[in-house]
Amino acid sequence: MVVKELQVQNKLGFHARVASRITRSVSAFQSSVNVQKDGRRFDLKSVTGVMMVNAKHGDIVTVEIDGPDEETAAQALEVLFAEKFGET
Amino acid sequence: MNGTIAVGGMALADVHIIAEQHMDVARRHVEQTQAEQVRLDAAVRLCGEELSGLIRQLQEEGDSDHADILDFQLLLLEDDSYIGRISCMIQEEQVNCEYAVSQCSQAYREELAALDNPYLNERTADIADIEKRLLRVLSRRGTAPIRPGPKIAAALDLTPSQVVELGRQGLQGIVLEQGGLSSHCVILARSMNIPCIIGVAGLLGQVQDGQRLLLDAQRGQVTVEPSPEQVQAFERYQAAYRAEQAELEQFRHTATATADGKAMRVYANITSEQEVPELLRQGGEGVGLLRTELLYMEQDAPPGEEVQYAAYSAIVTRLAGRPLIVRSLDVGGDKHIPYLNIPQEDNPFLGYRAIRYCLDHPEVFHPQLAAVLRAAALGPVQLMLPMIATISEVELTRESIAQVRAELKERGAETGPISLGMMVETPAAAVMAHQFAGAVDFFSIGTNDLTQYLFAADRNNARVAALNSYFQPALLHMVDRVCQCAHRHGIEVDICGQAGEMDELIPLWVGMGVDNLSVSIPSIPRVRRTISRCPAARCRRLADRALQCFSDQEVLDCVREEVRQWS
Repeated sequence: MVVKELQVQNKLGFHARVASRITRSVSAFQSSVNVQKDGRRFDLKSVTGVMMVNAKHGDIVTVEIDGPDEETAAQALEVLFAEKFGET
Repeated sequence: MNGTIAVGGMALADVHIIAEQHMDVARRHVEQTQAEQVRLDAAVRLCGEELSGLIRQLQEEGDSDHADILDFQLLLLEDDSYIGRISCMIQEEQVNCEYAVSQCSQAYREELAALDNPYLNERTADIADIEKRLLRVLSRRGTAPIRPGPKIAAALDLTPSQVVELGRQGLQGIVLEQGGLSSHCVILARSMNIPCIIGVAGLLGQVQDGQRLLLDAQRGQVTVEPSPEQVQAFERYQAAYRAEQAELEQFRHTATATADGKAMRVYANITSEQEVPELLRQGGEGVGLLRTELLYMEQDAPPGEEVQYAAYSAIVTRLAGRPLIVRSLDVGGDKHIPYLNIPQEDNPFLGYRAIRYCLDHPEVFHPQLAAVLRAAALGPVQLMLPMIATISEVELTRESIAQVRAELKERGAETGPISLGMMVETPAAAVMAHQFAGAVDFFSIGTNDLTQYLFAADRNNARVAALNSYFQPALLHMVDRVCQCAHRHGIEVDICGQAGEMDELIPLWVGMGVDNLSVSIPSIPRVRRTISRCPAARCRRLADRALQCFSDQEVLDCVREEVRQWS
């Protein structure tokens, strides 16, 4: 399992369009992708899961990626966060 | 039930519910949960195909914003924690599809609404949308056909086309669970003079199709199956309304003049071309304020020159020689337009708005100026600038107009002459009216904003809103001063705010020599009647007395006493 701490850098945080992008992106991988937050677990392969994380600008989220392609999935996620999900 | 009055009046008729909520989502026990699961799968597949088709279409049209929204809904359909939850409920509780869809959607909406994040709170609308889509497919029937006969329409919200369709079929009133005061639906209802109440929480849960409904859009109340006393009260209202309308009939199509023969004009405030026929029916002598924000509002990008030209030229043509005063874009304050990217401000009413924004954004402002200049070729058009505080703002606008006119000339586009006026709504403009009167061609006093800026009291803040009385001597001094400065320079003064149509203030405006009052469409004949009762010379003396008063109450008493002597 790979654990990554990623910072939410876009202004609006995890809103609907971002949720769509994250879900579309991680669903391409076999590995499970979950966020641990305040003792709860959210599935990033589910758009509702991403929304319920309710991450805002500047928040650090802890992502756990587990499965055969966990390394590539983790890299893809890092890029996605670094590019601010294509927003500002 | 209570709500916000969008169009005043009263109506009594059977209610016709226009809503997808019409669909049966009652809980039913099912033995064969497998069959329900098959129905759900089929509905999900069908909705997915519908959505994918729509998304492709939007992407081809280059509308990526709406495509993104639908893509989010498409993901919801693929989402295990939404659709999966519905499946689970069907299996575990042995219930029908419709019930599970509506229960799970509701639960999910509540979870989203509870988050402390407005962006996510708003997504409850997407859940509602996808829920409706699923239920519609499951029920395999469209909206119920509209019954003939008089009716009050009840709905979550209505689309403009629904209002138009209903209007042809005996529509007496509209009551909405949601709706906004500046929505297209409400503007249409206003133009058709159909009483309308919006924002009635829990409406659709409390009325059933075919029940008798009393809509009191004088007090903002909705009553299901009204008592005989309430029906009598309605009938009294209706009789009084008809008598009033009959009496006002003679004031619809006469020239406006005071009791001693001084000519004035009654204009109307409008937001769209659709209101012009009703304006003409009520005898409006022109448009004293065309709010152009609506052209910008329900959009994803500013409307171009052609779209605006089409809108303005249609109004000019329909007005057939009556003047049209176009107010340039008054964005900001309480009117937020997302794509203009005006940052959130602590104090939007004192912020980056109206002319301040427009002068910095020629790419938004110039197409509007071009459209106004071209429309002026078809009839009398005046341009009015909102929120002017300094002379330089007027001068910069004149330069912009000259530049746009030169560009149009180069293009060979036909333009007409326009007079350039300004709203007097900042205290700075009122104080310096003697200089502004030499810089513009007319004044229009925006009493709503001028009052709240003068008293430094937010009109949306209930604790201080009472300070904003139009009867306050401080405001009257400002208006009087503006009128005197205008007349010294030979320019006209209009009032286009709420205060312009109040019966007990009109004698003061007549006395101060206001030239034109721009009012809401249904008030036109009443305002003309009130003016006809005012002797201008006596009103001047009344205004002088009012200016010496110490309080708003004293002013009101003073006006009432004077008016009593006339009758």
